[in-house]
Amino acid sequence: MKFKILCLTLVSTVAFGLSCPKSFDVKKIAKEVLKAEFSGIRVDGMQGHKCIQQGKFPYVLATHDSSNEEASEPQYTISREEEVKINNVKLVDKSSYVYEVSFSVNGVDIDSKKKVLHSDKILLNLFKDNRNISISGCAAVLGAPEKIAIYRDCYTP
Amino acid sequence: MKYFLPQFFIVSLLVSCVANNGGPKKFGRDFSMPSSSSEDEKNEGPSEYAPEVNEWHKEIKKFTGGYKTFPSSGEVTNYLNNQLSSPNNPCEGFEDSYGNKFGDEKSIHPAAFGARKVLAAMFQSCKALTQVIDDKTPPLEGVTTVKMKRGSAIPKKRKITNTKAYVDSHIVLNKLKEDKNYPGEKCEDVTKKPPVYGYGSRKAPNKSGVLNLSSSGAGVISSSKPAAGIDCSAFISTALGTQGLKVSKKAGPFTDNTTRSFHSFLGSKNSCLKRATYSEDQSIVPGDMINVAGSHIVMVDSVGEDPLAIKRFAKSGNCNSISVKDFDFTYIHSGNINNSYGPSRVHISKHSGGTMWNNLRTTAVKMCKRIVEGKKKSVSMKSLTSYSKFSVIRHNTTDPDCVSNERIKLRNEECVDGCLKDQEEKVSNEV
Repeated sequence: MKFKILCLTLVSTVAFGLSCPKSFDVKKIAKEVLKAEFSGIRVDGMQGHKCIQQGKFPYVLATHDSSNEEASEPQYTISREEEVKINNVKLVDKSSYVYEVSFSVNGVDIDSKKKVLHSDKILLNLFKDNRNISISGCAAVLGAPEKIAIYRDCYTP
Repeated sequence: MKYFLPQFFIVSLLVSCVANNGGPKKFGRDFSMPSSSSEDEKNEGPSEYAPEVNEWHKEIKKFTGGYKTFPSSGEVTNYLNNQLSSPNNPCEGFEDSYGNKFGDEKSIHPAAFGARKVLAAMFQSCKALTQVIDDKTPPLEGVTTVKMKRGSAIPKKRKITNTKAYVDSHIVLNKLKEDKNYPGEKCEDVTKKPPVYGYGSRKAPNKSGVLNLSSSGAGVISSSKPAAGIDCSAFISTALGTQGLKVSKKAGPFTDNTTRSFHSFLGSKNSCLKRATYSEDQSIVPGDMINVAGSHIVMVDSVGEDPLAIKRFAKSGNCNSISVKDFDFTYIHSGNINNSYGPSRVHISKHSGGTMWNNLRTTAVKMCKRIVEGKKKSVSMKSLTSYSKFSVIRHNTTDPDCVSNERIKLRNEECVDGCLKDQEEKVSNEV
């Protein structure tokens, strides 16, 4: 019986697309979103890149969304092994589940080539209903980080 | 006396709207005065006018004391306010200074008309207005993004590498290529120098007030096959300029704005741009500009009955379930969509997310909740969003200081002037 329920859950997840484990808190969700952010979704010219394939992101919708107006080039590279630290979570709008998440991660400045502690913020809208979770995963990004950081293996100099 | 004259004029206008002179129509029906008197109706049976016509006559009769008195100015104002669904919907036959006819519920906001004009002029054909990018449109071929030297003002430029592949894969250009009558009289063949997205490709009119849309601009690399580049805010700036829609009362008909400057105008003195208000019956409308400062700007072109699905989800009380996929409207822009399409008309179904649409969604969810809570008052979209850089901008077209008599001319715009008027109603029916 348990096996049948497990199979049914797996099938329904595939049928409906993305998911969001109930155990995920805002910090965990923010980290999942940042995985997509660091994969180049804001970098002009990276649409369709192997780093942004949706299959790599079971919990967030990886939409390529570079600026149409300003330069969309990475400023920092980071290692996938580097842990992202969530410094602060601020509830901005309770009724709409909007949070401002401050984070920092060790990286290298592409211009100076120096190691830096990159700190930034992201504005997230968490989804609580199954319908939006299946379409977009745990959260949608309302405000992207000011600077673009990218995984080293996704970056082309 | 000075108060009597406007009153007299307004009532005369009302009466003229129903006079037997082929005057304005509402809902496509003739509102001529009934020639039969009540005595005639007794002998010949009731008049056969449409029910809404009879109802209207009853109202006017009551309003004017059986056509015997002039109402007060307050009564006239209240009556007109109740009759007009929007400021842009007076009796048909009214033609504003843009040459747009109003009264038809599908009239086009001048800003939206400007966007259509720019789009049609870029392709030298109104076919550009009938082809819509959606979630089924494949990406363009024959174009690539070239990375420039780090530190360059424009770090990435567009390069058309294969004009044939580009044209063949483009939903508008491939139609133009197959059209034996293209290019038309007074038109250029843009399949030889196609439009493309060009970050940094700005536009401005020359000293004669003529703007050349076919220049490549800084966003197209010099080694590209011929291409006409334009970026998002340059497109919208040009659209406004073709209609003389000023961004500030102190400005001229054309200003070269960026997404950031568009946003900054919202709070400034003498601004002609304001944040859109949402009401129980209306959210985004054609002519609204959806803007994320530093990222992108688009012009709403046509909207469905419930463009942000607010009414539908308010009925069920399930506002949080609104998704970007429930939206129903088209927009016109120049953007890095489907591999550098640039100027295009797009249906929102193309998108599942992205910061612009995620923010628009939150405004929909919040408005929906207001309706469910019984809050009927209109509200600025500012109070419906959490992201300070996001705005739905509406031009203050009703302020005469915000509309210039001068407009910028587009090079070769004569090519599309005729078909634009024909397309107006057809395009507004398509969402």
